[in-house]
Amino acid sequence: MRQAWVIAKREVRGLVSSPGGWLVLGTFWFVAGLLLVSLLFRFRDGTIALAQSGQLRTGESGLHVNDWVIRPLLYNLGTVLVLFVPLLTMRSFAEERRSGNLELLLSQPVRGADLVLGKFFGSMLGLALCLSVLVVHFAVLAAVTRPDWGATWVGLGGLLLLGLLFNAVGLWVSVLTRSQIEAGVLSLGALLLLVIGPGANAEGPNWTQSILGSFAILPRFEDFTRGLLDLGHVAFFGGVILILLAAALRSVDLVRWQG
Amino acid sequence: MSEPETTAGLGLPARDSRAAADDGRGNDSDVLIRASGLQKSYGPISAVRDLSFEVKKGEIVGLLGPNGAGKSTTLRMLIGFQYPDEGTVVLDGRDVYRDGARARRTLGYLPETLPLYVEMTVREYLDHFAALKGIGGGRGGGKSRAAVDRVLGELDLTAVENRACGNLSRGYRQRVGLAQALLAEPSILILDEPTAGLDPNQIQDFRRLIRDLGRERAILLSTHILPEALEICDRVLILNRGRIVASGRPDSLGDEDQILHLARIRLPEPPDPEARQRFGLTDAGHGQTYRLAHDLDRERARELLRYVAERSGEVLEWHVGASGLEASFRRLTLGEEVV
Repeated sequence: MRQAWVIAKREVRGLVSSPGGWLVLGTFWFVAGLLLVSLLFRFRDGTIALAQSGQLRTGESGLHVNDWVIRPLLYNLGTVLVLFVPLLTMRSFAEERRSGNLELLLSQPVRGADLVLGKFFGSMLGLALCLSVLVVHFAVLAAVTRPDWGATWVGLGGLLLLGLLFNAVGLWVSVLTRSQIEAGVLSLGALLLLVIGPGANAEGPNWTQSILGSFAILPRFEDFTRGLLDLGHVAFFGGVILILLAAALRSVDLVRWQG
Repeated sequence: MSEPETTAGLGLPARDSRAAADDGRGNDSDVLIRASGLQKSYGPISAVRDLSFEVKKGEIVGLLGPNGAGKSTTLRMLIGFQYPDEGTVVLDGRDVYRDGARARRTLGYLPETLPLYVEMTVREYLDHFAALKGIGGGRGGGKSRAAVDRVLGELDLTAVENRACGNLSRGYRQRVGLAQALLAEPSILILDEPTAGLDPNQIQDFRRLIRDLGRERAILLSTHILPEALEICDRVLILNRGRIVASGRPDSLGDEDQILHLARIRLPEPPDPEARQRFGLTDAGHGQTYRLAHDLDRERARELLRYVAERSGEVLEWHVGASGLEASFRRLTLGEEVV
């Protein structure tokens, strides 16, 4: 496990020491900022409209910053991650394979599991760097409004779980190719399939829809953003992440068979 | 140690790969690399076929072969990066596929083209690999720092320790690669084309270093530079089409009669058919000049000289070619016959 952290540290270092890494981080922060500003304007306009019509109420039944700003912010950032996670993960294995570093890494006394976990932890820290901008956002919101922190933390936890699941998809895809571009495009395709695929909005009595629906990701994530902490959802995300990491480990083995 | 078998039809002291594995086991505890029955195919193409050999402590073994002979695949299987279809590799008593992480603790590996993390300085790069190798418990600190300081000194890298790896010359890159391989003081070194791309001075330094390192370690290096094998290897394995086709001391592979010649001669009259065939003479294109279609051994070359002199011909070019090892290498890997 210690070696996994050594690999993770190197991953983060590779991200923050490259202009491309900062471009990804900067663009994500910029997009997150734009989202916050637009949601704040919407919140202000809604408040003004209700006040003018005399329907503005305070307290539990009134307009709440969580409903109008934080929840849509987290939900939209979840969909934005579909675009950004492939940019974070596409290098991880594909570039190591292309450059020959994978060969050197696997000649070290490092287990395949440490390697995959190291890459995963590295991408997790990259994701945390991306989402660190929310500290600023929440500080601003805390200064001017009274957010429901419980619901906010649950939503943030859901966003992290969603990001980690996306990371695991990106890592797995990255093992399968030597080209960063291919890894990025394939990851994007896989993530789009996950969030807007047939399972995403499956509802109704039809048994196929209910099976597909049970694999839907966005409805579960939406529950988190609403502040609902469902342990079944946590187990679902955790289980899928573990399966994807196991698949990545198996694929590293496959690389060793293929050479 | 039993005498090596002879490769059929080649007249060389070559060992069948099984035989190579069987002999040389005078003291089993000295065997640090043991490859047994390695096979690897890429689809219908057999890259490595029934490859077996051993390398003992204090021995430097050269893996020779033309491009595509299976050298890189063999090395990759030895370090555990690639799985064989069949066979086993045991490094210092540990199976590299079953007990990989522990087996690789005894291993230092230098790939042909060293991939470096360009943003890291040389010291940071070595610190990173020291942590990966678990030196000092992987926490950095005293032992790790001492190991990095040691290899920086041994490989004369102290002057560039704070330079970014991306700004290093080829020679320094190779040194950094070797420093990485030596960090954990491994008992086994596997070096893939260690002197490729170095200038002549660097090559000499590197060969001297490898010889020094080989006193206490088992070293397997792949090369296609035959003088290098002659200079530093105690034993060579010649690989062709995935098989060991010859094995033995480099100076014992091939005999003195197999010195080759490249020649161009001018004769006043066209040579008779018998001479053409005997010396392999072909027209060189302009006015009664001829060249050799194939190499000649020393005796036949003398005969050719006599033939030219008797006919008052001229020798326009006359090059003593390769050493015995080179001749053997060409015969074994290209199927070229020395007449």
